[in-house]
Amino acid sequence: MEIVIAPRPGLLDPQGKAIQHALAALGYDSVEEVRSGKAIFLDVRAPSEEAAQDQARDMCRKLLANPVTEDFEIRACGPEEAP
Amino acid sequence: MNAVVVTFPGSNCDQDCLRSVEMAGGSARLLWHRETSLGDADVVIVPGGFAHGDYLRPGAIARFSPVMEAVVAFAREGGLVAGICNGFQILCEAGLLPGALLPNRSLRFQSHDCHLLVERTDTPFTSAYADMAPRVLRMPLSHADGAYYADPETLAEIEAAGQVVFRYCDASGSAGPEANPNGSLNQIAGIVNDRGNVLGMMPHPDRAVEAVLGSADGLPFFASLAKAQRAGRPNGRGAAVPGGLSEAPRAPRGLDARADRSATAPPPPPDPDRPAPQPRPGDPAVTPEVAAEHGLSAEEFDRILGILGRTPTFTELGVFSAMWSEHCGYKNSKRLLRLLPTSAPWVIQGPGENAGVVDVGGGFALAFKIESHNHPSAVEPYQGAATGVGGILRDIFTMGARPVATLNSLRFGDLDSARTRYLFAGVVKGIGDYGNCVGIPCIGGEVQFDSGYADNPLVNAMCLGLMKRDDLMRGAAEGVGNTLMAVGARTGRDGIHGATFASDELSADQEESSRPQVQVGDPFTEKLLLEASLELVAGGHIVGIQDMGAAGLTSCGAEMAGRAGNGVEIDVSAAPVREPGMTPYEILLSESQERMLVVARAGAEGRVRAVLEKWELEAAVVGRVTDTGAFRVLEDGLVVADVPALHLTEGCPAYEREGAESPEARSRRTADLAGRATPPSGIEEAFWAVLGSPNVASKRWVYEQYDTTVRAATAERPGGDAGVVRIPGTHRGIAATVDCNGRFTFLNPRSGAMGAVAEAARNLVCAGALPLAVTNNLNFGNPLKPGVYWQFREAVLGLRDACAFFETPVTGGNVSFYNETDGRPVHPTPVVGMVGLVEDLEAVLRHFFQSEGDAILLLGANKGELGGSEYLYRLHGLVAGEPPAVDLAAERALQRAVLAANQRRLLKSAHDVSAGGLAATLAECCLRPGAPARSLGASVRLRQPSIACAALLFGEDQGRVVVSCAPQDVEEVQRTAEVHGVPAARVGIVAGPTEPLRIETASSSLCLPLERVAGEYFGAIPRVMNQSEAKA
Repeated sequence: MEIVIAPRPGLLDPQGKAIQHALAALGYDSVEEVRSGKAIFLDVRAPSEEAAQDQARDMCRKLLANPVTEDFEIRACGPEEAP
Repeated sequence: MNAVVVTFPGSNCDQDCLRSVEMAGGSARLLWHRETSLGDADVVIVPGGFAHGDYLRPGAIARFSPVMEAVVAFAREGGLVAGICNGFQILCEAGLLPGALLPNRSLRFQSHDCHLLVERTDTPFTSAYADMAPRVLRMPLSHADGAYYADPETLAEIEAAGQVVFRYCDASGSAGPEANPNGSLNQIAGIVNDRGNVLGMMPHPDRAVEAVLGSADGLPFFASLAKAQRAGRPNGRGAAVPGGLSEAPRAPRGLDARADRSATAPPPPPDPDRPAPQPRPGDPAVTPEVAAEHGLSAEEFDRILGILGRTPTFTELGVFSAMWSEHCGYKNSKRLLRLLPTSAPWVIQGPGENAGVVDVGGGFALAFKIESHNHPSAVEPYQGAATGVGGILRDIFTMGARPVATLNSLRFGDLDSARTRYLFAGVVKGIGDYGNCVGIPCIGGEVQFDSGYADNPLVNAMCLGLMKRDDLMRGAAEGVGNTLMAVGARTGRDGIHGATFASDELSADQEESSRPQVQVGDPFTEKLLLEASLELVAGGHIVGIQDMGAAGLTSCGAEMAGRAGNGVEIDVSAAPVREPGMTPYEILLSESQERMLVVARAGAEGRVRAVLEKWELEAAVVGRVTDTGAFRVLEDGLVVADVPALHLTEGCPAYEREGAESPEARSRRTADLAGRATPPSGIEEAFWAVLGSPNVASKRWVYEQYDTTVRAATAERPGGDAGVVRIPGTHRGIAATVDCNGRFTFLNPRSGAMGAVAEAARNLVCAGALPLAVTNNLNFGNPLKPGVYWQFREAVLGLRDACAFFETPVTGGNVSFYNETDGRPVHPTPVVGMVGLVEDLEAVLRHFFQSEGDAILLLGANKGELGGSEYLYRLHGLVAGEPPAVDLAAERALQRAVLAANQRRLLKSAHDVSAGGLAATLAECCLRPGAPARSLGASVRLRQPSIACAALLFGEDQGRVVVSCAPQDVEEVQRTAEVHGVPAARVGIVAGPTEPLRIETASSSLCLPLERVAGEYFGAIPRVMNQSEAKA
């Protein structure tokens, strides 16, 4: 699973701002907004795609993201057979 | 008050909080994060640091530590909980406080003083501030993620309910947005929860409990807590030991007498019962060509054949090549290094160990050393510099000493290059992130920018550690039958042959191809390793310990065996590895970070393992100490290497080479400087150019990224002449400085090296310290070039003369050769790290003027020497001329005069004259680094018509110190100087805070507004770097 964690919209994101600035300096002035977050990759053992999603959501709420400042999005990378 | 201070793995301020509580009259104990009960505690303090490395998000992992359940329950019942810095972050993550802490607006770690307005004095955390007026506090802040954030509704609620307890403000108490250091919403620095029993704050009251360390404004915070709980139960518990130096009883250790031995000892006779190692299936065949690829010359390969009496196995070849590399074997330097003075009555350990050690009185010993990480930093500045700090810290704590301070000496090309700015920013961030996380304050350093270092930066890191004299530990494999254990991180394939890599020149295309040899540092593991190691030493479970640094397990095993005159047998199959399928060659030569080899007493292996487990680290038995004198390695029971250990260490060939001054250096040194004393566009423009040069301007942009106050012992921070830290539990301190002017040493390596020692000593006495000893970092180009070898020899001779004359012996150091890019050597740079002793912290001198009306005196004589000066570089684009002469006798007299005057408390300030000359020095004397707005002007008159004005103002003549004193003490200062034969001219008077700096010479008169002086001085580097950040 891939979990993308990004600062909540509207939250001051100095890193995103710095990246936007840098891109503009390189001529990419078409960039309207940059938000900088992080991605976490998990190998999850679960009976179904849905169960894996549920687990990941739980992990995000408990530990991986801070609900005060961050949003998260869970993307399944597709099932993989256990070795 | 009966407080507990929670210690998480990675907490750095637990001891500081403990001590603060005790100073406020309470009692406190530490509570390990795995505990589940708070016992009879009535206050919980969650201290600062990097709990669990701050990985994921600060505090995110710590909130799930077992102890936090009890802390949350305690808070819900109304118990008092205070979180400071990282503790604030943890309490927010745990949901005990509203909001969150975001990265600082600057995106950098910030370490400096801040002012706080106390908004509420009716809380149990702030009641002792009630009688204070105005309620403005000054204390350090030190964090990367300190910008307070809450969503608009929450923020409105917090404000409406009066939950904001501390707000950032300026010195006058005004809380305008310009006083916001980190982007916190509403300038919020500290809040309480809605019930008022849980507080979080980012600044550090625990680092502001003593005026001698800068501020006592934090003490009432702890006194408030003590008062709040005074009605509570009586407390009969003994106080825990402050200061962090363990006083636990320990078992006696084995003798550390070192066998007298000769490097030329014949190999031990062949033992019929010890089969010679066989080539390992799959390993390449060993041929002279393969040896050459390993950096071994034909003669060296022949020598190996002679030692072994057979062809080495591939594993053995790797071992020899690492141990006989320049980095480990010092083969081109050790003959000359033997010329350095190394002993004095106060020297406990000279060169040859992980670090030198000197006696600093009161039962304390000081371990200190400097080391380079130049090549790794050139390739990957962030990780290269970070792992450099990691390595030098391990060199100190493997001596049994707790690291108490770091310094660093950095050199880069000119800042107008984007590549230089990238290297500079990366190195500074790497040093900061590593040292800050481990929790060691940076107390000083130097940065030089010169085209002579373009593309080959020099990154030298120095560390100081304190221990009880009896805790001294050596890196020796003592005691036949004792057990070798690998502790700390696992061994991976990173950095294989880093030592050989460090012994080679960089080429332009190496940047990409060298990347796999760069290791990644993990400061969190380092912190755990530090605590575990000191616990092992204190517990008496081990007899020897060494960092697996350059050449990893190989150098560790061979050096420890060699020092003890013993042998070691290592089973690589037992070493914990990070990836499967690693060969003995790879395991022996890996330079994975944060690993150590310990020699456990036979039978104490279980206790060693228990200590490591407590700190969540691994320990594995990998071998034993033998009496064979051999470095023997097994893989699954088969011998893969068997080499006499002494031949690996002291048997490394030593060369003395031909050297001669290169014609280019000679022509620059003898260049005619006539006419250069006229600045192109006037003397005032020259002043601004010199002051605004990044070599002269304030390095605040650098050192504010380093935590300078953690451990609450820093008496003098970076920015002055020398850093000072307190010796725990005393009023005495250790002072330290690093110095070298690479231009001087390029133009004249001998006098330049003498000048580096002289400047270091001057810096120490200007801080009020008596110089004790030296560690050096000799950074040079390829020693096979006669010009470079000549520079090296001359520099060593200069160090020898000055160190002997000043009685500051060299107790160790590091040689870094091959600092070249595309065949161009760097300026020869023998960096001198010097340590000194401060007898009374109250007598620490500052470099800047203290009071209006004080007299300004110049100790020492002006000569007007412009050779090698910043003025010539900046105004004429020249590195040329004979550098300022060094008169050792005059230097010693000057040192003694300053120390004598300070001993009688006659001086108000003292500042060494160095880069930028007298004019820049006077400007620095006017500026107050922590509070530029409170800087003082001055009126100075220099009447020496025989010296050209520019030479008088910008010449970097040695042997001068600018001091200030009360007007009534001028005669006494002059008399003291006269006794020592030192000229002491009264040159001016300190003026008021709105006055300019006026400098009058025979031919010119400068009137320099302080605001512009401060703007140029403090703004020069940020202007360049912040602009490039916006662009990068």
